[in-house]
Amino acid sequence: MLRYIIRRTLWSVAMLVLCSAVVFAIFYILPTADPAKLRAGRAADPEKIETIRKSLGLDDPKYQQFLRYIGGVFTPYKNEAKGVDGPLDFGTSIFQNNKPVREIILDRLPATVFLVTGAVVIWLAIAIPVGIISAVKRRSLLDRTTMITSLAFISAPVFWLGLVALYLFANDVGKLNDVPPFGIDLAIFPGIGSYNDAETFGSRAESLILPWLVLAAATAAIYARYLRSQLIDVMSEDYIRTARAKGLSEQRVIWRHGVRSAITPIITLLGLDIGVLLAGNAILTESVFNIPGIGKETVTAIGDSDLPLIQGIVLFGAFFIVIFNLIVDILYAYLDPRVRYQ
Amino acid sequence: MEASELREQPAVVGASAELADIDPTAIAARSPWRLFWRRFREDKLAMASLIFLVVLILVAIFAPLVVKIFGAPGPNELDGGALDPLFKNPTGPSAEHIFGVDQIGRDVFSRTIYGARVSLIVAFAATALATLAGIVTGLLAGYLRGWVDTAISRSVDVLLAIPYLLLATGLAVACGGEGGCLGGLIQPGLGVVIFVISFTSWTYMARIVRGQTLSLREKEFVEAARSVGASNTRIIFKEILPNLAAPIIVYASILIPQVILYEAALSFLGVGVTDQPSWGQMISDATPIYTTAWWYMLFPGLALLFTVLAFNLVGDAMQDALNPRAKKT
Amino acid sequence: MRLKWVRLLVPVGALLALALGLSSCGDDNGGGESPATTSVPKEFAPVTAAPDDAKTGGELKVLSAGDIDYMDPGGAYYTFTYQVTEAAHRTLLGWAPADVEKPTPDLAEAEPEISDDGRTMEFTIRDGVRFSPPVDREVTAADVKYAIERANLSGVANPYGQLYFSDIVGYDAARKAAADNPTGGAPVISGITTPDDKTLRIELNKPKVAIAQVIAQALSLPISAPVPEEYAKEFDAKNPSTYGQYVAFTGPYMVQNDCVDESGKVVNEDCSGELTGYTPGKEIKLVRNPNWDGEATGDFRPAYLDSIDIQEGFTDTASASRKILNGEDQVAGDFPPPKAVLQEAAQEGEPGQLQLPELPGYRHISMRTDKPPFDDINVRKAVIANSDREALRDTRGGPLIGSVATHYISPGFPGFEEAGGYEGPNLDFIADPNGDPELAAEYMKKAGFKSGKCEGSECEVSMVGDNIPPGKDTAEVFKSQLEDLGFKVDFRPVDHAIMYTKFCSVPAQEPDICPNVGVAPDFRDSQVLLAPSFSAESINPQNNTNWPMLDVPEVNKAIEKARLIGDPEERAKAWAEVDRLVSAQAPAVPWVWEYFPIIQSTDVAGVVNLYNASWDLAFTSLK
Repeated sequence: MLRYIIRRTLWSVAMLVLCSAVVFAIFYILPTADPAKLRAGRAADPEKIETIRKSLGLDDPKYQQFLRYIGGVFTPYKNEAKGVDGPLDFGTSIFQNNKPVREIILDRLPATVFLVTGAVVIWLAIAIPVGIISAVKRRSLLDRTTMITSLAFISAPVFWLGLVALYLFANDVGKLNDVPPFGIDLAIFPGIGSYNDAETFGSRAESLILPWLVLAAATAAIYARYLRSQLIDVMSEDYIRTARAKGLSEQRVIWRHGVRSAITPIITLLGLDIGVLLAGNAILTESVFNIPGIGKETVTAIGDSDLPLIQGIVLFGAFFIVIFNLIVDILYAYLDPRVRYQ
Repeated sequence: MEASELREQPAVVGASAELADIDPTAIAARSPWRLFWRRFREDKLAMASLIFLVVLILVAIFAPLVVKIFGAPGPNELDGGALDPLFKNPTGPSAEHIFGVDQIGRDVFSRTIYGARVSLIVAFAATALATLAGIVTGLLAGYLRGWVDTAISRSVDVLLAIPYLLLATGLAVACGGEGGCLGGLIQPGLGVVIFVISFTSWTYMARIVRGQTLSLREKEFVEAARSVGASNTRIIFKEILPNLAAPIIVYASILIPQVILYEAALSFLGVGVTDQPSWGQMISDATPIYTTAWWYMLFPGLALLFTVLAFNLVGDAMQDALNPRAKKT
Repeated sequence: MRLKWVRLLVPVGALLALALGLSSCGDDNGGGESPATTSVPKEFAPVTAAPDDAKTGGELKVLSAGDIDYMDPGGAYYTFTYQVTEAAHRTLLGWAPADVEKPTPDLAEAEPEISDDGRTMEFTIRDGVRFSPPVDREVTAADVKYAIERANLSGVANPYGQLYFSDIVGYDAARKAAADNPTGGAPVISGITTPDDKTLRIELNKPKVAIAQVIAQALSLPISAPVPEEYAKEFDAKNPSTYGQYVAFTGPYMVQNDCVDESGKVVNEDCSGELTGYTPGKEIKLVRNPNWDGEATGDFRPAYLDSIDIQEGFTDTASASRKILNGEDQVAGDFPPPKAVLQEAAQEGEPGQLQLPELPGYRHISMRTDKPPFDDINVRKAVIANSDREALRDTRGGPLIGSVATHYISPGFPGFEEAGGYEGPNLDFIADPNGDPELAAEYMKKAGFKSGKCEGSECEVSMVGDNIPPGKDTAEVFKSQLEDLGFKVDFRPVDHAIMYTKFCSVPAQEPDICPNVGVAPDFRDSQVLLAPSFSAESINPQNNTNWPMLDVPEVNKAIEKARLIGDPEERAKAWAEVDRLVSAQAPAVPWVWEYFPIIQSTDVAGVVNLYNASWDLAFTSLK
């Protein structure tokens, strides 16, 4: 077990370095334009561009720049002289008055975490029962309808779903506020930007209901279908037949053996998805609902062409995923010994 | 799309049953395509989707003709008269503009039709590139094993570690500056979008091809070929590749709808295609006014929904048709 | 505030206007007035004075989409930033809300005394004006001197100093010294002296009263906000300067720092002056400056509010606008309400919630006169004749968003009438606001295109414009109009700031057409409307504002001449003449003189400052 952990951790560290290399390549080497110009911000005159070039050492050979970059990212301490702001210097944003990217990310992380956590809870709450029931009642009308509906949710662009949801259900602009025949008001959910206004935990949660549902929709659909197909596979295995032959009730067979087996890949998937979402893939939902998370920050950075900020966020995302996956893998290895010997 | 079916398979036992199920040699033995087609045809919904897609492709190709038949103006024609005189707000569906107009008076129906072009071009081009790259790398990794495999697999791991939407937007911004990327080879616009999407999607195909190649190279007919003295190249091209055709097609067809949504997302974020009508961009344009100008948001969205749904249904049916064992429906 | 529409008119939403006389929706225009020229209906006229019974107290929230450019008054230039600096700093001269003919003395006791030969000007600083904590002491003339000198440092990044102050003795030498040694402190400008604590004397190279007058007006910009040298030195020694995090204030309000609490009371004697109230991109908290005594120091600002909370990041201006209209204690900062919401505001809002002040300046579409095909004046005339400028204006919202511009001196500026007023100069190609395709064809023929439309490879032109409405819409409409004339337009939409900093304002990269440029004048002199945009002297390899790259000796001479005229009437006439000459050169398509919609909640008694067409925070109060 320990050997596995050490191996995995070493590989993760290597991944971190490699990811930094990829990010470095994308933002420093790939663009044709002068990297100093790209980082000089607004109204940059030649003097300013040269200052930036010198301070970032952009005249040095690429590998030196890369080493400096890596050094900055992995440094555990502050070093004013070298212009390093540790620990974990992801760079500074040009348009936010040289604020360290790390601070900006930490600032925005809570909103993203809140959004993702709620969505995860909802999609699991929907997907698991739906998946199981659909698998059990295979080929029934219920099964077919849910499968088609879930396919529809997977096929709809999430930002569009968000807009449609707001159009119908938002309390400031929603059109379903007078539904015939009884005039029920369904437009009760807080609209765009309400997260920013919310002051209590409760009102924040309320403002996130629509975003949760929208973010969860497609994933719930995917998980439901996946669970269903997994369960169907498992149910046709021999040991299930044995269990039935042994006289166990169908319910027990399904739950004790079927689901337990089918659910393990779902858990790994869940780990991956959570990691990816937290690292910034919720950008579309955050953008539509104006939630001040990491994704929204990326959108702002795009508008500003704030290259260092985007670069920092991408790198952070990669780091987050690598570390998150490491934790998930170790946890999984703890639960399933077969894994360690791969 | 926050989560997708493009996830890499977890490195654990019990990986997706679907992947392991597709046994290409099982098909190779019996006239594969006819069998495949027969099973595919049984899925009525998939057939309907296929017809829809064929029509869509034709409409995209003959967009100017289609627009004319319906009596709509071109996608870039401005009709100031269609804006209300008081506030210059766009007007909704009417006799002259069946889907209404956008904020400067362009016909939404026309733009929706033309938008199909961008979506389909990107879908096919990016998928083709990603597939090609994936096949090459997957084959090499799976067949040659050793350090080639390690290098490629690790690269895939690294790329997959970066959240793809962030990676895509980062790439798009980096390449969106003057001069584009790679010394001007990749210019902002369609070029960047196709590049970015291919760059972040080839890993999916590479993993699959590698997996398939790994299992194929152990099969008897490969051993047989080797014992006869066939060179590696011959084996790859004559024995392995043909057997990869089926899963590649299936997974490519699963990739296409994801790519369409992906391009829409990039356009929505403002880093996609900007010089031609694109569904994602139309929705993005509609965001400030959707509360009153619902048509501008609705129709491109429905177009996306139906197109992606159709591809998904076809892809699903293809998967089932290639998988004689556990029929999932 | 030149150029910097950037943060003023921000992502999302098309600008909108209102109906002509909403009470009579659907009626024809009140007889006689063409839809090209409009005036603001009474309901939306801007309120430029506080009510007699204005109440003191309360907190106002200002919602904004973007951020200010610099907290450091030495670098501040955005129109939005001005909303903050006018409330927090006392510049030598300021702008009273209703009085925009010329600036009002603020830190200075009166307008400067200019010697008869125009060589020197003297300001007398008021007594009793003090810096905010922790600096606390009284302001002296040396503080203004230092403020102007430090603006030369590249770490302060002042963009307009060179434009207006290079005629001050020793200015250019100081600037060069600063460039050579960016961290060696602000080099002294020999022409600025302080004979005593309260006197600021400025000596000029050119003995011209007119130049002195322009400099006096330019000192109404934030650059003349006093900066205490002994306090700021250590910050200015860094590059970029960190003074922006420690600014000392002299106005009725200050950005909250570690010395004061929310009510502006000093709570920490041992403080550093670090601003705690400024979170870039998120929030600016303005509280009362405890060391400000408006009564005793003759400040024209009443300062009713107790505090002002500027909240940034409202990029969804539609919902932000609704929030303001339906909520309480809020006003819009840097964005106009988008179309749909504007309609709501106009039709359902309470009186006064929506106001339409005139936005000084103009918008135009520039063509590069130094490269084919637009180096041929006949082609340019054809393009202008062909353009439907009403349609262009309509992309920002229609008739009431402003009048179709016909030349470059905007309404209210000296020389407007002499230059042709609303009708414009007597030039055939600009006569019809809806465009005259036949005339355009004739001009094309004169240029050698026999068919009346552009032919050949010359007709492939490049255009770089905004990537979001309304700028993008304007660009698209213009593109379509050009294509009608046979041109093939390659349009690249980019971020607004990028459009300036990487393309249009950099001659080496400038495309043939820049559709989203315009001029927001720094002060009320027609020089700022014409010289930066059309004088060959203004052409600059970076930060260029002469987008048409116009270099016509006749025009250059007329501009030089007009610059030096001191007498207001003569000056107005001279600039009007420049305007006529420029228009005759057809370098651009002027297309709108705007009204800028601003909104407030029902319980706010907002006062509009006509200088920058936005809410004046030092005059606004809560009902």
